[in-house]
Amino acid sequence: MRTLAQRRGLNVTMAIGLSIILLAVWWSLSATLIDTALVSGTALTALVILLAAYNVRKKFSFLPLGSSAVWLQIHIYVGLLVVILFGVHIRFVMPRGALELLLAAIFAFTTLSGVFGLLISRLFARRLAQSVEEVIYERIGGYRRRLSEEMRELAVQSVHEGEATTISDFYAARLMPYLDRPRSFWTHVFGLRRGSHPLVHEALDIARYLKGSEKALLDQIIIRVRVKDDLDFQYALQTILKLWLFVHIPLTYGLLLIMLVHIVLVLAFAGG
Amino acid sequence: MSLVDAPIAIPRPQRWDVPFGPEMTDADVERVLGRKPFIDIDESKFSKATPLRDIIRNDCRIVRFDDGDIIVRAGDYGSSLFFIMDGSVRVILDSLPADSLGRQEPRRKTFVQSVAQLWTNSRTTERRDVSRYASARMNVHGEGDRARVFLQDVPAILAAHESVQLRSGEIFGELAAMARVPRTATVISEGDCELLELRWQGFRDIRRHADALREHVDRLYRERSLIHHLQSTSIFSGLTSEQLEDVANQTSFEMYGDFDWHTAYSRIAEKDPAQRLAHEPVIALEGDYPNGVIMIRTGFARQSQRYGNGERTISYLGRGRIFGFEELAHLEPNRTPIPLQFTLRAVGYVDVLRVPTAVIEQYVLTPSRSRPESVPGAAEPRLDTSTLEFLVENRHINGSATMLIDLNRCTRCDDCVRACAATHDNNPRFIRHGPVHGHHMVANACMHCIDPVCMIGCPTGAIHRDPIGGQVVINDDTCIGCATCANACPYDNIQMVEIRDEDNAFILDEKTSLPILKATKCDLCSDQLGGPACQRACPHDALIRMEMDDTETLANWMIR
Repeated sequence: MRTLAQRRGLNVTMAIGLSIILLAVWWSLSATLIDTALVSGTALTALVILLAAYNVRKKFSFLPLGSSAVWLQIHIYVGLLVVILFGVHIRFVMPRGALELLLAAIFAFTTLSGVFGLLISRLFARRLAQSVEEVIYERIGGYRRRLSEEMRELAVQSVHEGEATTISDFYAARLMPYLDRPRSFWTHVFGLRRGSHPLVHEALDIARYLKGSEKALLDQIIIRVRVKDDLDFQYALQTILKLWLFVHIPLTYGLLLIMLVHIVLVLAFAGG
Repeated sequence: MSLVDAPIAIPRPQRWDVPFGPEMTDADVERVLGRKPFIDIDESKFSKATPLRDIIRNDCRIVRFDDGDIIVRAGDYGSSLFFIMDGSVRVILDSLPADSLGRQEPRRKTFVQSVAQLWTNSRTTERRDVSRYASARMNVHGEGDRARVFLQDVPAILAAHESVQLRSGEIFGELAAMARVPRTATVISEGDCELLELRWQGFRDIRRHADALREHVDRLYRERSLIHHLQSTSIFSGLTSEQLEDVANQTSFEMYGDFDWHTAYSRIAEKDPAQRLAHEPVIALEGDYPNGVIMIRTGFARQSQRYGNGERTISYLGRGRIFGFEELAHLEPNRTPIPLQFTLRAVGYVDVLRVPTAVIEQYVLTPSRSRPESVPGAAEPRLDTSTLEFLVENRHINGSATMLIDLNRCTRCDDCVRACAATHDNNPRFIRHGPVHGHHMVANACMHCIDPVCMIGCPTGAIHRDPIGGQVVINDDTCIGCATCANACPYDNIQMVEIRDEDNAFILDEKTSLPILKATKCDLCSDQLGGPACQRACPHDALIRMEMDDTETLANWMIR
């Protein structure tokens, strides 16, 4: 079995080799009377359609169309070639027409969103694997509600057992808003926090005002704050992992559409 | 202390709290004891704790079959054997058509059929075409665990297939009761017949004390199974048939662990590692001198070594693996004997063969014979100890197609789940969730177990192994929704679903108006081109269906 690093090395080598060949061919053709823009444009159209076909493959998973993993590898490295081919097509010069500029902009954003998707696919997956517990995205809301109910019960219990409202006040003022929806979204996305959630420290601060049985309840609450924080972490990263495709795919459709208009106009005004 | 806090006292659970056949009466026990082979058994040889009469009363049941009823099917897994009390049965020696046994014919879609799913797949979840059930229902009578599949036109079947008749007093099904192996032939009732079904626990006890019965069953086992098994083992390759017969005659077979391990699995899984280990019977102990080579015939064993105050798992051995050979090999000239380097324990249920040292010296470790190049079981897997402990203790080693997910690569996109739903009535046959060790998850998907306990007790034979690929599949047409398989699966990987018609309405039982249930599980996309849709759908190579016995591939995948 080939390791992932070996596969990456092979694919990168192949992509670089093909890119060099591509640039060499372009340089050779530039010295002739052949219309290089037409050649590169045709190749570009074919490859962009191939890249877009990956989404079709995903939709029809019951068809014997090869594994999605192979398609993704092709998608990544053909995507790399397409960037170079696009540069060749526009002769590495910023286009000037409005439509061409729009086409170039959409191409750039589609590419960047793809690169972003690839990066977070690799980085966020590893970060998610370090979670305390693996949670299915659709179940996060349910778990949060359950945690919220458990915390409320602990707060009520603290009033009975401690004959004081220290914990329940803390619950009403600080925990309820924390529990009602996902929190610290961008903090989790960018991995900005080191150490425990600030609420854990706040909870530890009020421990001095509690008696034994209340402290035990507070410990239970602190555990749940940590679990909620982990849920928020999972929510933030999984949301980004799901949402980036809602940018990348519509951009692809937009690219295909503008590309079609560009081709029609080029052919219409080709003359000859 | 309040009453609420008072500990609850109950009688200590006993072996026979739940008898096999609750309807067994004293008269039935007397009747059984008066028949061959029981009449020849010396009752005094049995211990006071497990007298023969109590074994008959609690580990036996009397079952009756009508003419043409299928008693056991070839390929089924079972845990009991049968004595013919009255009437006769027919053992069909060649294979019957799958549909007559309540199974489905293995089928794989053509390319055109695969493409046709684009417009033929229903948009309704768990939609069923009930007209299909009409033909299947014709061959089933009775309900629940008393449901029987029967063959139509038995004379024509007997004329077309080779069969032998067994009469009153004879035994069948002993191999499946002795070792967890599939039934080798289909047996049908010839006229009305009455059988005594003896579950494996009672059979073990009777076999221990009844010499004639033990010799009879052992002889059948040696003749039908053992020589073939020895022949396929690398250390005995090249032996003549006479030599193999001699090896077989001197080989003893032993059973360890609990045949019904799956029933106690969840309870034991909650205990701490030391207690779990204590539940695994020792087959061979580290430090003892080897008295032979141990060959795993069915089930799994844990190979461990003392470490600190506990035991560290070194590897697990499945069917065909050998233990103790390396130590014996030290007996070769000029080498000093060494004790066993590892302990071997039964994980769940294990059936082993013990070939005595003298036999190994006589036939394998001879100066004229070169030592086998590779001895299955001798090499230690490259997996780290904690991974091995996790896989063994959770019994994931039982899987032939365990779904493993590398969480370091999984982006939680659920393409695998959607692909599964797209190929299975819009309802995924697994949950992308399950036990996690490090960055690897064992998802809740049917593992297509090597020891498929779900296949024990299906009254209609709906759950069976695909004869081509070996996957455990369910024939929806003959599944009666009794949930026997779902309850038996120790991993909770079989789901009972409510089925619907084309209009998305539940299909109801005409008598009770309750929804009709069907057992569903991963079938490894056995009818689809290209293999499991889940694995093919994963864009990041994060998901694989893994044969856990292949530790080399497993290690390569985990450490990539």
